[in-house]
Amino acid sequence: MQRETPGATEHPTQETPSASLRANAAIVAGAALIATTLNAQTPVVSDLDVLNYALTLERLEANFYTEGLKRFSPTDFSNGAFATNLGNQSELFGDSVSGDVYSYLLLIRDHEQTHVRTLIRTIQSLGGTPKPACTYNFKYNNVDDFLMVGKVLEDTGVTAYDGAVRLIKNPAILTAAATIATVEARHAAYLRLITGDIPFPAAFDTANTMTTVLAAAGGFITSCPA
Amino acid sequence: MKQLMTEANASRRSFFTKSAALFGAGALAAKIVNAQTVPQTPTPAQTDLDILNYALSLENLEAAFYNQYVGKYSASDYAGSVFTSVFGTKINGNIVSYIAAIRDHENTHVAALKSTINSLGGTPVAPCVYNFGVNNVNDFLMTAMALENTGVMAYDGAIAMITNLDVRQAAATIATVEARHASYLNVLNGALPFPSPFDTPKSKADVLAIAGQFISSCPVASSATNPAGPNIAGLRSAITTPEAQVQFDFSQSAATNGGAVSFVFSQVSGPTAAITSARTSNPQVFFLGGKGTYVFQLVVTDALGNVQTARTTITYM
Repeated sequence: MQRETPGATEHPTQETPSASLRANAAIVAGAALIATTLNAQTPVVSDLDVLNYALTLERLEANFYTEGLKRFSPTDFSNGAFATNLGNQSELFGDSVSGDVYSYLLLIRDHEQTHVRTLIRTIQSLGGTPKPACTYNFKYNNVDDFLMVGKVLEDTGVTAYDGAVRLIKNPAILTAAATIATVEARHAAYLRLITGDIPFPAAFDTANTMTTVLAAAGGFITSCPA
Repeated sequence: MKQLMTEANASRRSFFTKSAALFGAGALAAKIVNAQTVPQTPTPAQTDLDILNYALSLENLEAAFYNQYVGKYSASDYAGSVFTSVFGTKINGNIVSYIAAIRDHENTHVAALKSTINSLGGTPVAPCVYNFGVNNVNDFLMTAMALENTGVMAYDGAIAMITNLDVRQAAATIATVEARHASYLNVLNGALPFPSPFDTPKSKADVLAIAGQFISSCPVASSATNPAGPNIAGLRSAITTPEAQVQFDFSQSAATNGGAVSFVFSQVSGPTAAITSARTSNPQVFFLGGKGTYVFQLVVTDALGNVQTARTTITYM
Protein backbone atom coordinates (compact mmCIF):
# COMPACT_ATOMS: atom_id res chain seq x y z
CA MET A 1 0.00 0.00 0.00
CA GLN A 2 1.12 3.52 -0.64
CA ARG A 3 2.20 5.67 2.24
CA GLU A 4 -0.61 8.10 2.92
CA THR A 5 1.49 10.47 4.93
CA PRO A 6 4.25 12.03 2.89
CA GLY A 7 6.82 13.64 5.08
CA ALA A 8 6.01 11.51 8.08
CA THR A 9 9.09 10.03 9.63
CA GLU A 10 7.76 7.37 11.84
CA HIS A 11 9.65 5.26 14.24
CA PRO A 12 8.10 1.91 15.02
CA THR A 13 8.62 2.41 18.70
CA GLN A 14 5.07 2.16 19.90
CA GLU A 15 3.56 -1.10 20.89
CA THR A 16 2.97 -4.03 18.66
CA PRO A 17 -0.13 -5.98 19.66
CA SER A 18 1.91 -8.64 21.40
CA ALA A 19 4.03 -6.10 23.20
CA SER A 20 0.83 -4.45 24.26
CA LEU A 21 -0.42 -7.62 25.88
CA ARG A 22 2.75 -7.75 27.88
CA ALA A 23 2.43 -4.08 28.73
CA ASN A 24 -1.13 -4.61 29.89
CA ALA A 25 0.00 -7.48 32.04
CA ALA A 26 2.53 -5.13 33.54
CA ILE A 27 -0.18 -2.61 34.28
CA VAL A 28 -2.31 -5.21 35.97
CA ALA A 29 0.71 -5.98 38.08
CA GLY A 30 0.64 -2.39 39.25
CA ALA A 31 3.07 -0.63 36.98
CA ALA A 32 2.43 2.94 36.00
CA LEU A 33 0.36 3.86 32.98
CA ILE A 34 3.27 5.64 31.48
CA ALA A 35 5.16 2.38 31.24
CA THR A 36 2.74 1.32 28.49
CA THR A 37 4.53 3.39 25.91
CA LEU A 38 8.07 2.33 26.22
CA ASN A 39 10.45 5.07 25.19
CA ALA A 40 8.09 6.16 22.46
CA GLN A 41 9.56 8.82 20.26
CA THR A 42 7.21 11.35 18.82
CA PRO A 43 7.27 11.25 15.05
CA VAL A 44 7.35 14.58 13.27
CA VAL A 45 3.83 14.58 11.90
CA SER A 46 1.58 17.60 11.32
CA ASP A 47 -2.06 17.73 12.34
CA LEU A 48 -2.94 17.68 8.64
CA ASP A 49 -0.97 14.46 8.24
CA VAL A 50 -2.90 12.90 11.10
CA LEU A 51 -6.22 14.15 9.74
CA ASN A 52 -5.45 12.63 6.33
CA TYR A 53 -4.42 9.42 8.06
CA ALA A 54 -7.77 9.36 9.86
CA LEU A 55 -9.51 10.17 6.56
CA THR A 56 -7.78 7.21 4.88
CA LEU A 57 -9.19 4.88 7.52
CA GLU A 58 -12.64 6.45 7.60
CA ARG A 59 -12.91 6.26 3.79
CA LEU A 60 -12.04 2.57 3.98
CA GLU A 61 -14.68 1.97 6.67
CA ALA A 62 -17.33 4.05 4.90
CA ASN A 63 -16.75 2.18 1.63
CA PHE A 64 -16.93 -1.14 3.45
CA TYR A 65 -20.36 -0.49 4.97
CA THR A 66 -21.78 1.39 1.98
CA GLU A 67 -20.96 -1.38 -0.48
CA GLY A 68 -21.65 -4.30 1.87
CA LEU A 69 -25.08 -3.06 2.89
CA LYS A 70 -25.97 -2.54 -0.77
CA ARG A 71 -25.01 -6.13 -1.44
CA PHE A 72 -26.73 -7.77 1.53
CA SER A 73 -30.37 -7.50 2.58
CA PRO A 74 -31.83 -7.70 6.07
CA THR A 75 -32.88 -11.26 5.16
CA ASP A 76 -29.26 -12.18 4.43
CA PHE A 77 -28.38 -11.14 7.97
CA SER A 78 -31.28 -13.12 9.40
CA ASN A 79 -29.93 -16.20 7.60
CA GLY A 80 -26.29 -15.59 8.51
CA ALA A 81 -24.42 -18.33 10.28
CA PHE A 82 -23.57 -15.85 13.03
CA ALA A 83 -27.26 -15.93 13.85
CA THR A 84 -27.90 -19.62 13.26
CA ASN A 85 -24.70 -21.52 14.06
CA LEU A 86 -25.39 -22.05 17.71
CA GLY A 87 -29.15 -22.24 17.47
CA ASN A 88 -31.72 -20.08 15.83
CA GLN A 89 -31.46 -16.35 15.86
CA SER A 90 -33.85 -15.83 18.72
CA GLU A 91 -32.07 -18.32 20.92
CA LEU A 92 -28.73 -16.79 20.16
CA PHE A 93 -29.38 -13.13 20.67
CA GLY A 94 -33.10 -12.77 21.08
CA ASP A 95 -35.38 -10.92 18.74
CA SER A 96 -34.51 -7.67 20.41
CA VAL A 97 -30.88 -7.66 19.32
CA SER A 98 -31.20 -9.71 16.13
CA GLY A 99 -33.94 -7.47 14.81
CA ASP A 100 -31.70 -4.45 15.23
CA VAL A 101 -28.64 -5.74 13.38
CA TYR A 102 -29.34 -4.39 9.91
CA SER A 103 -30.56 -1.00 11.11
CA TYR A 104 -27.61 -0.70 13.49
CA LEU A 105 -25.21 -1.50 10.65
CA LEU A 106 -26.86 1.24 8.60
CA LEU A 107 -26.28 3.59 11.51
CA ILE A 108 -22.62 2.63 11.68
CA ARG A 109 -22.37 3.28 7.93
CA ASP A 110 -23.89 6.73 8.45
CA HIS A 111 -21.41 7.47 11.23
CA GLU A 112 -18.43 6.55 9.05
CA GLN A 113 -19.76 8.67 6.19
CA THR A 114 -20.19 11.57 8.60
CA HIS A 115 -16.63 11.11 9.84
CA VAL A 116 -15.39 11.22 6.22
CA ARG A 117 -17.30 14.41 5.43
CA THR A 118 -16.20 16.08 8.65
CA LEU A 119 -12.55 15.18 8.12
CA ILE A 120 -12.61 16.42 4.53
CA ARG A 121 -14.06 19.76 5.60
CA THR A 122 -11.65 20.07 8.48
CA ILE A 123 -8.64 19.33 6.28
CA GLN A 124 -9.82 21.88 3.73
CA SER A 125 -10.47 24.51 6.39
CA LEU A 126 -6.88 24.10 7.57
CA GLY A 127 -5.59 24.60 4.03
CA GLY A 128 -4.82 20.96 3.35
CA THR A 129 -5.79 18.60 0.54
CA PRO A 130 -7.93 15.62 1.51
CA LYS A 131 -6.54 12.29 0.33
CA PRO A 132 -8.82 10.73 -2.29
CA ALA A 133 -10.54 7.39 -1.87
CA CYS A 134 -8.80 4.18 -2.95
CA THR A 135 -10.08 1.01 -4.54
CA TYR A 136 -10.83 -1.61 -1.93
CA ASN A 137 -11.26 -5.34 -1.70
CA PHE A 138 -12.61 -6.63 1.59
CA LYS A 139 -12.69 -10.28 0.55
CA TYR A 140 -15.99 -11.28 2.10
CA ASN A 141 -18.43 -13.68 0.52
CA ASN A 142 -21.30 -13.69 3.00
CA VAL A 143 -22.68 -11.74 5.93
CA ASP A 144 -20.58 -13.68 8.41
CA ASP A 145 -17.35 -12.74 6.65
CA PHE A 146 -18.70 -9.22 6.38
CA LEU A 147 -19.29 -8.92 10.12
CA MET A 148 -15.87 -10.39 10.93
CA VAL A 149 -14.18 -7.87 8.63
CA GLY A 150 -16.28 -5.09 10.18
CA LYS A 151 -15.11 -6.12 13.63
CA VAL A 152 -11.47 -6.06 12.51
CA LEU A 153 -11.88 -2.64 10.90
CA GLU A 154 -13.51 -1.12 13.98
CA ASP A 155 -10.99 -2.60 16.40
CA THR A 156 -8.20 -1.35 14.13
CA GLY A 157 -9.80 2.10 14.03
CA VAL A 158 -9.73 2.21 17.82
CA THR A 159 -6.03 1.34 17.95
CA ALA A 160 -5.37 3.98 15.28
CA TYR A 161 -7.13 6.85 17.09
CA ASP A 162 -5.70 5.78 20.45
CA GLY A 163 -2.24 5.96 18.91
CA ALA A 164 -2.89 9.22 17.07
CA VAL A 165 -3.81 11.34 20.09
CA ARG A 166 -0.13 11.71 20.95
CA LEU A 167 0.54 13.20 17.52
CA ILE A 168 -2.18 15.87 17.40
CA LYS A 169 -1.33 19.38 18.56
CA ASN A 170 -4.49 21.45 18.04
CA PRO A 171 -6.67 20.91 21.17
CA ALA A 172 -9.93 21.19 19.21
CA ILE A 173 -8.78 18.47 16.81
CA LEU A 174 -7.64 16.38 19.76
CA THR A 175 -11.06 16.56 21.36
CA ALA A 176 -12.75 15.78 18.04
CA ALA A 177 -10.47 12.77 17.55
CA ALA A 178 -11.27 11.56 21.06
CA THR A 179 -15.01 11.83 20.42
CA ILE A 180 -14.60 9.80 17.20
CA ALA A 181 -12.34 7.23 18.89
CA THR A 182 -14.96 6.42 21.51
CA VAL A 183 -17.63 6.03 18.83
CA GLU A 184 -15.40 3.59 16.91
CA ALA A 185 -15.00 1.71 20.19
CA ARG A 186 -18.79 1.59 20.57
CA HIS A 187 -19.06 0.15 17.04
CA ALA A 188 -16.29 -2.35 17.81
CA ALA A 189 -17.97 -3.51 21.02
CA TYR A 190 -21.26 -4.05 19.21
CA LEU A 191 -19.71 -6.00 16.33
CA ARG A 192 -17.81 -8.14 18.80
CA LEU A 193 -21.03 -8.80 20.72
CA ILE A 194 -22.99 -9.96 17.67
CA THR A 195 -20.11 -12.13 16.46
CA GLY A 196 -19.85 -13.85 19.82
CA ASP A 197 -16.75 -12.11 21.25
CA ILE A 198 -16.43 -10.27 24.54
CA PRO A 199 -17.04 -6.60 23.64
CA PHE A 200 -14.17 -5.35 25.82
CA PRO A 201 -11.24 -7.75 25.67
CA ALA A 202 -8.86 -5.78 27.91
CA ALA A 203 -8.80 -3.03 30.53
CA PHE A 204 -6.79 -0.91 28.10
CA ASP A 205 -7.14 -0.77 24.35
CA THR A 206 -3.97 -0.98 22.30
CA ALA A 207 -2.51 2.15 20.75
CA ASN A 208 -0.95 1.45 17.37
CA THR A 209 1.36 3.53 15.21
CA MET A 210 0.44 4.86 11.79
CA THR A 211 2.89 2.37 10.26
CA THR A 212 1.25 -0.61 11.92
CA VAL A 213 -2.29 0.53 11.13
CA LEU A 214 -1.59 1.44 7.52
CA ALA A 215 0.07 -1.93 6.99
CA ALA A 216 -3.09 -3.62 8.31
CA ALA A 217 -5.36 -1.39 6.23
CA GLY A 218 -3.24 -2.10 3.16
CA GLY A 219 -4.56 -5.64 3.16
CA PHE A 220 -7.92 -4.24 2.05
CA ILE A 221 -6.62 -1.74 -0.50
CA THR A 222 -6.23 -2.68 -4.17
CA SER A 223 -4.89 0.62 -5.43
CA CYS A 224 -4.84 4.32 -4.60
CA PRO A 225 -4.69 7.35 -6.91
CA ALA A 226 -1.14 8.53 -7.41
CA MET B 1 -32.57 6.64 40.81
CA LYS B 2 -30.29 9.57 40.99
CA GLN B 3 -30.37 12.55 38.73
CA LEU B 4 -27.58 11.05 36.64
CA MET B 5 -30.21 8.96 34.94
CA THR B 6 -32.10 12.01 33.85
CA GLU B 7 -28.88 13.50 32.67
CA ALA B 8 -27.95 10.44 30.64
CA ASN B 9 -31.39 10.10 29.15
CA ALA B 10 -31.51 13.75 28.28
CA SER B 11 -28.11 13.44 26.68
CA ARG B 12 -29.25 10.50 24.62
CA ARG B 13 -32.34 12.28 23.46
CA SER B 14 -30.41 15.34 22.45
CA PHE B 15 -27.54 13.46 20.84
CA PHE B 16 -28.93 13.64 17.34
CA THR B 17 -29.98 17.25 17.37
CA LYS B 18 -26.80 18.30 19.10
CA SER B 19 -24.63 16.40 16.68
CA ALA B 20 -26.51 17.75 13.72
CA ALA B 21 -25.98 21.26 15.00
CA LEU B 22 -22.35 20.75 15.87
CA PHE B 23 -21.10 18.63 13.05
CA GLY B 24 -23.72 18.11 10.38
CA ALA B 25 -23.19 21.49 8.84
CA GLY B 26 -19.43 21.40 8.98
CA ALA B 27 -19.27 23.36 12.17
CA LEU B 28 -16.47 21.19 13.46
CA ALA B 29 -14.16 22.61 10.85
CA ALA B 30 -15.22 26.14 11.71
CA LYS B 31 -14.83 25.41 15.38
CA ILE B 32 -11.32 24.11 14.87
CA VAL B 33 -10.28 27.08 12.79
CA ASN B 34 -11.78 29.45 15.33
CA ALA B 35 -9.91 27.68 18.06
CA GLN B 36 -6.69 28.67 16.37
CA THR B 37 -7.49 32.31 15.89
CA VAL B 38 -9.97 33.37 18.54
CA PRO B 39 -8.69 33.84 22.07
CA GLN B 40 -10.34 31.26 24.27
CA THR B 41 -12.01 32.02 27.56
CA PRO B 42 -9.29 31.66 30.17
CA THR B 43 -9.69 28.43 32.06
CA PRO B 44 -7.84 27.48 35.21
CA ALA B 45 -4.64 25.65 34.43
CA GLN B 46 -5.06 21.94 34.97
CA THR B 47 -1.89 19.99 35.51
CA ASP B 48 -1.65 16.40 34.34
CA LEU B 49 -1.76 15.39 38.01
CA ASP B 50 -5.03 17.31 38.44
CA ILE B 51 -6.50 15.49 35.47
CA LEU B 52 -5.19 12.11 36.62
CA ASN B 53 -6.77 12.66 40.03
CA TYR B 54 -9.99 13.75 38.33
CA ALA B 55 -9.94 10.49 36.33
CA LEU B 56 -9.14 8.57 39.51
CA SER B 57 -12.09 10.11 41.33
CA LEU B 58 -14.37 8.83 38.56
CA GLU B 59 -12.74 5.41 38.39
CA ASN B 60 -12.97 5.15 42.20
CA LEU B 61 -16.68 5.77 41.87
CA GLU B 62 -17.14 3.23 39.07
CA ALA B 63 -15.05 0.61 40.85
CA ALA B 64 -16.96 1.10 44.11
CA PHE B 65 -20.21 0.76 42.19
CA TYR B 66 -19.32 -2.56 40.58
CA ASN B 67 -17.55 -3.91 43.67
CA GLN B 68 -20.70 -3.24 45.67
CA TYR B 69 -23.24 -4.76 43.29
CA VAL B 70 -21.65 -7.27 40.91
CA GLY B 71 -21.82 -10.16 43.36
CA LYS B 72 -25.42 -9.43 44.24
CA TYR B 73 -27.01 -10.41 40.94
CA SER B 74 -27.07 -13.85 39.37
CA ALA B 75 -27.76 -14.94 35.81
CA SER B 76 -31.38 -15.55 36.75
CA ASP B 77 -31.65 -12.04 38.21
CA TYR B 78 -30.51 -10.63 34.89
CA ALA B 79 -32.74 -12.95 32.90
CA GLY B 80 -35.65 -11.67 34.94
CA SER B 81 -34.85 -7.99 34.57
CA VAL B 82 -37.14 -5.86 32.46
CA PHE B 83 -34.25 -5.15 30.10
CA THR B 84 -32.59 -8.49 29.50
CA SER B 85 -35.73 -10.60 29.37
CA VAL B 86 -35.92 -9.78 25.66
CA PHE B 87 -32.48 -11.24 24.87
CA GLY B 88 -31.62 -14.75 23.77
CA THR B 89 -29.53 -17.27 25.65
CA LYS B 90 -26.23 -16.13 24.16
CA ILE B 91 -26.40 -12.61 25.50
CA ASN B 92 -28.05 -13.55 28.76
CA GLY B 93 -25.58 -16.35 29.34
CA ASN B 94 -22.65 -13.95 29.19
CA ILE B 95 -24.00 -11.09 31.28
CA VAL B 96 -22.57 -12.22 34.62
CA SER B 97 -19.05 -12.77 33.25
CA TYR B 98 -19.11 -9.63 31.09
CA ILE B 99 -20.22 -7.44 33.98
CA ALA B 100 -17.48 -9.02 36.11
CA ALA B 101 -14.98 -8.15 33.36
CA ILE B 102 -16.16 -4.53 33.49
CA ARG B 103 -15.66 -4.50 37.27
CA ASP B 104 -12.15 -5.88 36.81
CA HIS B 105 -11.37 -3.20 34.22
CA GLU B 106 -12.45 -0.40 36.56
CA ASN B 107 -10.37 -1.82 39.40
CA THR B 108 -7.41 -2.07 37.03
CA HIS B 109 -7.93 1.56 35.96
CA VAL B 110 -7.92 2.63 39.63
CA ALA B 111 -4.69 0.73 40.32
CA ALA B 112 -2.99 2.06 37.19
CA LEU B 113 -4.04 5.67 37.86
CA LYS B 114 -2.86 5.54 41.49
CA SER B 115 0.43 4.06 40.39
CA THR B 116 0.85 6.74 37.73
CA ILE B 117 -0.03 9.59 40.11
CA ASN B 118 2.48 8.26 42.63
CA SER B 119 5.16 7.90 39.97
CA LEU B 120 4.65 11.54 38.98
CA GLY B 121 5.06 12.65 42.58
CA GLY B 122 1.39 13.32 43.27
CA THR B 123 -1.00 12.09 45.91
CA PRO B 124 -3.88 9.93 44.68
CA VAL B 125 -7.32 11.09 45.87
CA ALA B 126 -8.95 8.68 48.28
CA PRO B 127 -12.27 7.04 47.49
CA CYS B 128 -15.38 8.73 48.89
CA VAL B 129 -18.45 7.26 50.51
CA TYR B 130 -21.04 6.65 47.81
CA ASN B 131 -24.77 6.17 47.61
CA PHE B 132 -25.93 4.81 44.28
CA GLY B 133 -29.60 4.39 45.14
CA VAL B 134 -29.68 0.96 43.50
CA ASN B 135 -32.47 -1.32 44.74
CA ASN B 136 -32.66 -4.01 42.07
CA VAL B 137 -31.03 -5.36 38.93
CA ASN B 138 -32.87 -2.86 36.73
CA ASP B 139 -31.51 0.07 38.75
CA PHE B 140 -28.08 -1.53 38.59
CA LEU B 141 -28.05 -1.83 34.79
CA MET B 142 -29.39 1.68 34.26
CA THR B 143 -26.93 3.24 36.68
CA ALA B 144 -24.06 1.27 35.13
CA MET B 145 -25.06 2.56 31.71
CA ALA B 146 -25.19 6.13 32.98
CA LEU B 147 -21.82 5.85 34.73
CA GLU B 148 -20.08 4.42 31.67
CA ASN B 149 -21.52 6.99 29.28
CA THR B 150 -20.54 9.74 31.71
CA GLY B 151 -17.04 8.29 31.87
CA VAL B 152 -16.77 8.50 28.08
CA MET B 153 -17.81 12.16 28.12
CA ALA B 154 -15.33 12.86 30.91
CA TYR B 155 -12.33 11.31 29.14
CA ASP B 156 -13.32 12.85 25.80
CA GLY B 157 -13.40 16.25 27.49
CA ALA B 158 -10.13 15.76 29.38
CA ILE B 159 -7.82 14.29 26.74
CA ALA B 160 -6.99 17.59 25.05
CA MET B 161 -5.89 19.07 28.40
CA ILE B 162 -3.25 16.41 29.06
CA THR B 163 0.25 17.53 28.17
CA ASN B 164 2.33 14.40 28.86
CA LEU B 165 1.97 12.37 25.66
CA ASP B 166 2.23 9.01 27.40
CA VAL B 167 -0.45 9.97 29.89
CA ARG B 168 -2.61 11.35 27.10
CA GLN B 169 -2.33 8.17 25.08
CA ALA B 170 -3.06 6.04 28.14
CA ALA B 171 -6.18 8.14 28.79
CA ALA B 172 -7.30 7.49 25.22
CA THR B 173 -6.88 3.75 25.63
CA ILE B 174 -9.03 3.92 28.76
CA ALA B 175 -11.61 6.18 27.09
CA THR B 176 -12.24 3.67 24.32
CA VAL B 177 -12.63 0.86 26.84
CA GLU B 178 -15.20 2.91 28.75
CA ALA B 179 -16.94 3.42 25.40
CA ARG B 180 -16.98 -0.34 24.84
CA HIS B 181 -18.57 -0.80 28.27
CA ALA B 182 -21.07 1.94 27.47
CA SER B 183 -21.95 0.37 24.13
CA TYR B 184 -22.63 -3.00 25.74
CA LEU B 185 -24.63 -1.54 28.62
CA ASN B 186 -26.67 0.53 26.18
CA VAL B 187 -27.58 -2.71 24.37
CA LEU B 188 -28.57 -4.36 27.66
CA ASN B 189 -30.74 -1.37 28.48
CA GLY B 190 -32.38 -1.38 25.05
CA ALA B 191 -30.69 1.86 24.00
CA LEU B 192 -28.69 2.52 20.86
CA PRO B 193 -25.11 1.40 21.50
CA PHE B 194 -23.78 4.32 19.44
CA PRO B 195 -26.26 7.19 19.58
CA SER B 196 -24.23 9.69 17.59
CA PRO B 197 -21.30 9.84 15.13
CA PHE B 198 -19.45 11.87 17.78
CA ASP B 199 -19.53 11.35 21.52
CA THR B 200 -20.05 14.44 23.64
CA PRO B 201 -17.03 15.83 25.53
CA LYS B 202 -18.01 17.21 28.92
CA SER B 203 -16.15 19.64 31.15
CA LYS B 204 -14.73 18.59 34.48
CA ALA B 205 -17.24 20.81 36.28
CA ASP B 206 -20.18 19.21 34.48
CA VAL B 207 -18.92 15.68 35.10
CA LEU B 208 -18.18 16.30 38.78
CA ALA B 209 -21.63 17.78 39.22
CA ILE B 210 -23.08 14.52 37.85
CA ALA B 211 -20.73 12.35 39.92
CA GLY B 212 -21.60 14.36 43.01
CA GLN B 213 -25.11 12.91 42.90
CA PHE B 214 -23.61 9.61 44.04
CA ILE B 215 -21.22 10.94 46.69
CA SER B 216 -22.25 11.03 50.32
CA SER B 217 -18.97 12.29 51.73
CA CYS B 218 -15.27 12.45 50.93
CA PRO B 219 -12.22 12.40 53.18
CA VAL B 220 -10.94 15.77 54.34
CA ALA B 221 -7.61 17.15 53.28
CA SER B 222 -5.46 16.54 56.31
CA SER B 223 -7.41 14.33 58.60
CA ALA B 224 -5.98 13.29 61.94
CA THR B 225 -3.08 15.70 61.85
CA ASN B 226 -3.85 16.22 65.51
CA PRO B 227 -5.30 13.11 67.13
CA ALA B 228 -6.56 15.19 70.06
CA GLY B 229 -8.12 17.82 67.85
CA PRO B 230 -11.74 17.93 66.74
CA ASN B 231 -12.92 15.83 63.79
CA ILE B 232 -13.69 18.04 60.85
CA ALA B 233 -16.79 17.32 58.80
CA GLY B 234 -18.06 18.97 55.67
CA LEU B 235 -14.79 19.96 54.02
CA ARG B 236 -13.51 18.17 50.95
CA SER B 237 -9.85 18.49 49.99
CA ALA B 238 -10.69 19.52 46.46
CA ILE B 239 -13.81 21.06 45.02
CA THR B 240 -14.53 22.00 41.46
CA THR B 241 -17.50 24.21 40.84
CA PRO B 242 -19.07 26.24 38.04
CA GLU B 243 -20.76 28.44 40.67
CA ALA B 244 -19.32 31.77 41.83
CA GLN B 245 -19.97 30.92 45.45
CA VAL B 246 -19.83 27.97 47.81
CA GLN B 247 -21.76 27.45 51.03
CA PHE B 248 -20.18 25.19 53.63
CA ASP B 249 -21.69 23.24 56.49
CA PHE B 250 -19.18 22.16 59.13
CA SER B 251 -21.84 21.65 61.79
CA GLN B 252 -21.15 17.92 62.09
CA SER B 253 -17.58 18.63 63.20
CA ALA B 254 -17.10 17.45 66.76
CA ALA B 255 -14.57 17.65 69.55
CA THR B 256 -13.10 14.32 70.61
CA ASN B 257 -14.08 15.22 74.19
CA GLY B 258 -17.65 15.95 73.14
CA GLY B 259 -17.55 19.66 74.02
CA ALA B 260 -18.29 22.70 71.88
CA VAL B 261 -16.06 23.70 68.98
CA SER B 262 -15.33 27.02 67.29
CA PHE B 263 -14.52 27.71 63.67
CA VAL B 264 -12.25 30.07 61.74
CA PHE B 265 -12.39 29.90 57.95
CA SER B 266 -9.86 31.95 56.00
CA GLN B 267 -8.30 32.25 52.57
CA VAL B 268 -4.76 30.97 52.03
CA SER B 269 -4.13 31.78 48.37
CA GLY B 270 -5.72 32.49 45.03
CA PRO B 271 -7.64 35.41 43.54
CA THR B 272 -9.68 37.70 45.75
CA ALA B 273 -12.48 36.00 47.63
CA ALA B 274 -15.01 37.25 50.16
CA ILE B 275 -15.98 35.13 53.14
CA THR B 276 -19.12 35.66 55.17
CA SER B 277 -19.83 34.07 58.55
CA ALA B 278 -16.16 33.09 58.68
CA ARG B 279 -16.35 32.24 62.41
CA THR B 280 -19.37 29.98 62.20
CA SER B 281 -20.01 26.42 61.07
CA ASN B 282 -21.67 27.78 57.90
CA PRO B 283 -19.31 30.15 56.11
CA GLN B 284 -19.93 31.17 52.54
CA VAL B 285 -17.26 32.19 50.03
CA PHE B 286 -17.67 34.35 46.94
CA PHE B 287 -15.09 34.17 44.17
CA LEU B 288 -14.75 37.88 43.47
CA GLY B 289 -11.52 37.38 41.50
CA GLY B 290 -13.25 35.28 38.89
CA LYS B 291 -12.36 31.84 37.63
CA GLY B 292 -9.28 30.29 39.15
CA THR B 293 -7.92 28.18 41.95
CA TYR B 294 -8.60 29.27 45.52
CA VAL B 295 -7.22 27.70 48.69
CA PHE B 296 -8.95 28.06 52.05
CA GLN B 297 -8.15 26.87 55.53
CA LEU B 298 -10.49 25.79 58.26
CA VAL B 299 -9.32 25.82 61.88
CA VAL B 300 -11.53 24.10 64.41
CA THR B 301 -10.77 24.50 68.12
CA ASP B 302 -12.40 22.69 71.02
CA ALA B 303 -13.04 24.03 74.53
CA LEU B 304 -9.71 22.66 75.75
CA GLY B 305 -7.75 24.41 73.03
CA ASN B 306 -7.10 21.33 70.87
CA VAL B 307 -6.82 22.47 67.26
CA GLN B 308 -7.55 20.72 63.97
CA THR B 309 -6.69 22.30 60.63
CA ALA B 310 -7.73 21.34 57.12
CA ARG B 311 -7.41 22.96 53.73
CA THR B 312 -9.51 22.84 50.61
CA THR B 313 -8.56 23.75 47.07
CA ILE B 314 -11.51 25.11 45.13
CA THR B 315 -11.38 25.35 41.38
CA TYR B 316 -13.96 27.82 40.12
CA MET B 317 -14.27 27.09 36.41
